[in-house]
Amino acid sequence: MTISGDTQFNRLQPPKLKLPPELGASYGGSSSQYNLSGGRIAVSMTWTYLLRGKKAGKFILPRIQIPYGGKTYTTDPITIEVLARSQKPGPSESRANTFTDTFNGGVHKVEAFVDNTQPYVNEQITYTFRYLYNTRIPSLDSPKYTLPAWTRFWEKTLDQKSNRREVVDGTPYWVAEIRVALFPIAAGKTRIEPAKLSLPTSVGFGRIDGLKVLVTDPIEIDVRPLPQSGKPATFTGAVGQYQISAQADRLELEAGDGLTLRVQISGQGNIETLTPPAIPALPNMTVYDPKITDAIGEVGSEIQGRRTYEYVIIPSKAGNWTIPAIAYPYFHPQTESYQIARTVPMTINVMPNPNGAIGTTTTQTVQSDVRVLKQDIRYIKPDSLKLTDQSVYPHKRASFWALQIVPVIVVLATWLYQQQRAKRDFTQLRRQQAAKKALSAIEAVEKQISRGPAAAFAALATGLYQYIGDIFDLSPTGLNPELARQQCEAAGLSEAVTTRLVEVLTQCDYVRFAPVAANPTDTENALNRAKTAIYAIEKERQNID
Amino acid sequence: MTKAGKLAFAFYVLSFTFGGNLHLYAQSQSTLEASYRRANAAYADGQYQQAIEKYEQIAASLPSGIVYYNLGNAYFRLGKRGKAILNYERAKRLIPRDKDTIFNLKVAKAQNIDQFDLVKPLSGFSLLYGALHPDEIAWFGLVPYWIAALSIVWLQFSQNRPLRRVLRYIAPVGCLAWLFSLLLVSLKVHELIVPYAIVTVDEIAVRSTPDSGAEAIALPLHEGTKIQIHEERRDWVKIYLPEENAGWLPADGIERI
Repeated sequence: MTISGDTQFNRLQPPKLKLPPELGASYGGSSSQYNLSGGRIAVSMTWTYLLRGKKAGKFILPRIQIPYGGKTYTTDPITIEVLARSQKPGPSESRANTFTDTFNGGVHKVEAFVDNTQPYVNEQITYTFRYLYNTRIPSLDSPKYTLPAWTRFWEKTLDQKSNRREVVDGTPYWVAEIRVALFPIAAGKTRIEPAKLSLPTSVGFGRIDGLKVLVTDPIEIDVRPLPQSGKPATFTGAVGQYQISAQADRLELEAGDGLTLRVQISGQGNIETLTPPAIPALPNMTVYDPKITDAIGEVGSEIQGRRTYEYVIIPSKAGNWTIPAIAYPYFHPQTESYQIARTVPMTINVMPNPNGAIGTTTTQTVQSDVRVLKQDIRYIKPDSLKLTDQSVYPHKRASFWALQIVPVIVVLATWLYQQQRAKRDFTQLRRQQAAKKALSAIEAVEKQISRGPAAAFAALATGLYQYIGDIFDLSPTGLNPELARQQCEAAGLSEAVTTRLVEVLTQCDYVRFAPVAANPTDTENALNRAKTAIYAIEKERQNID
Repeated sequence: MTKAGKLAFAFYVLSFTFGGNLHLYAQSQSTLEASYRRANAAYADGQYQQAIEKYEQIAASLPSGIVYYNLGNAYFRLGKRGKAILNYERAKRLIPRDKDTIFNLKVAKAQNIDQFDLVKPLSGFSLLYGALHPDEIAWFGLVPYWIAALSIVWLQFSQNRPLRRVLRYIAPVGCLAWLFSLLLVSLKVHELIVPYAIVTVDEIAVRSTPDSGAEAIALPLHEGTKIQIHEERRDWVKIYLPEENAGWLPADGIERI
């Protein structure tokens, strides 16, 4: 129930309904709306009641009276027919496209329709999907909708309107609406499958009770083919209502310079699928492929806009040249006839180029990328390159093998050198320490002289032979006094020193191997002579080295 | 190393570096280069046959990638696509990474009637060395080899323990890299000495036996097709066809790369 007026309502109480007993009612809330009209405020206030028929039959909703400002306003009586359940589903009954929320007391329903079920190919029809509800949405989650797949249509979603109130069959609803512009691709019968709305539902106090899926009815479409009669030879499939215009950025230029011709097609229809207009043959002019820009919008639910083709044209010869009218045929679905839009012819004054240059232009780049016209081999190598024989492979080169062998030789030579050096170092060390070791051995014998002369002389002999072996880089094993003499003489030692050493060694052998008795004095003398001999040899060795 | 040894070593290094061209001066370098310039001039004048004769003379004395490339171009201009592909293939062996050669070979082969080659696929190693000349592989192998050798020498003298530890790792790794390079060189050289050939006549029949009266066992091959020769017998060569079939081609219809 709506009350309208031109002033602000004050403290207006909801009207009281006197309903017949066959009808039940629940209060659905109120809303008010203010509009500025002719400098005055127009006000309307609406109270919503949900009526529920308790049994079938015709009932009269009596007049409702509202007292305001000293006057009483009265409505007309309304006859309400309540049908039996089997006759027609009522709003409180659930259908595939309807859900009755018994807890919150209201209805959710979906519907889909098109504005034309018999369009021509490529003629726009508008598909509308609506979600209507007159109770609160029973969840914080928004309902989710799924539109059908547009397999046989070129589609563009139109701007969405905000939710609004609308009375449908006497019942006020909130309405959410989605509209899609469709352009049939091919003739023939087709079906738009149902759209779906997934509605989270509850049974009480915000508890989610699963999803309720509402489904719209399918829509049968019969797409009509474009008529053959009257179809222009140059028709390329544009359907709608179009105008065409052409404009050149200059009408005077020199041969070889370029001009830009903008051809604009505007109107209602599927702008994005328009084909370029046929440019008439232009002798003495080169026309390059156009650059295309679109500006598309909508008026009401109709797609409309403009498409601009920018052609770069380069005249090659001086003269007054005419760009004839450019025709653009299209099919007009309202009049069901073919029409031809035309531009106005224009004349271009091409002056001779004083430089004689052809093809130079300063207008803009005329190619978006390089186009290879013919694949050809690359040119020969230049004279400046140096010729070298590249055919001899490594295994045929001496240098290859040399470079393989040289490291082996270097490594082997280094190894041999290191071996020699190590050996040399050992001999040197042995010679350097020979006297020291020998004198230590003699001192040890002096300390153990009490063990008897045989043992003392044996130890003395061992020490002396080790000394001789060390200084001449020989093994002490197998040495005897005569060999010792020969080594000393060969080394250039004096005969006196040699004889002194040999005498001590001979005495040692006598005592060790012959039954010759020796007293401690002989032993001490022998040890002293041995030391003297070693000192003398060391002195002479230093002189010799 | 003695002075003579050093000189010999330097000679070998130089010889290797400059591609072993020290032996080829039977015809002097300057004469060849003058001939090359004249051939290029003939080509530029559109005298392709004249250019071909000069390039062929140079190539006989001095097998050079750029000469084969230019020769291929001259043949291509005369419409002898088979000969052009033959010489591009020869150039590709010597200058395997040259983009001009690769491109022109592709352009020429795109005009072939037979859009296939009758050759065995290369080994997996060819991915490693495909774009390298054998000399380059040898060089790459020599570097770790010499590093390994120097490491061993250094080990003989160094008393620095951490350094010796590092050198003990470098030496065997370098030796392994060197052995691997030798393997690659041998594979590459083996690949290069595989007898490939190009069909240089318009059309050539594939026969079941090396006999001109024998039955043709496949559709004929056409100019520019690359084949692999598996056997040569008098004036015939044996090739393998798909599914292990073998056929024979007259040798005068093909030319070895």
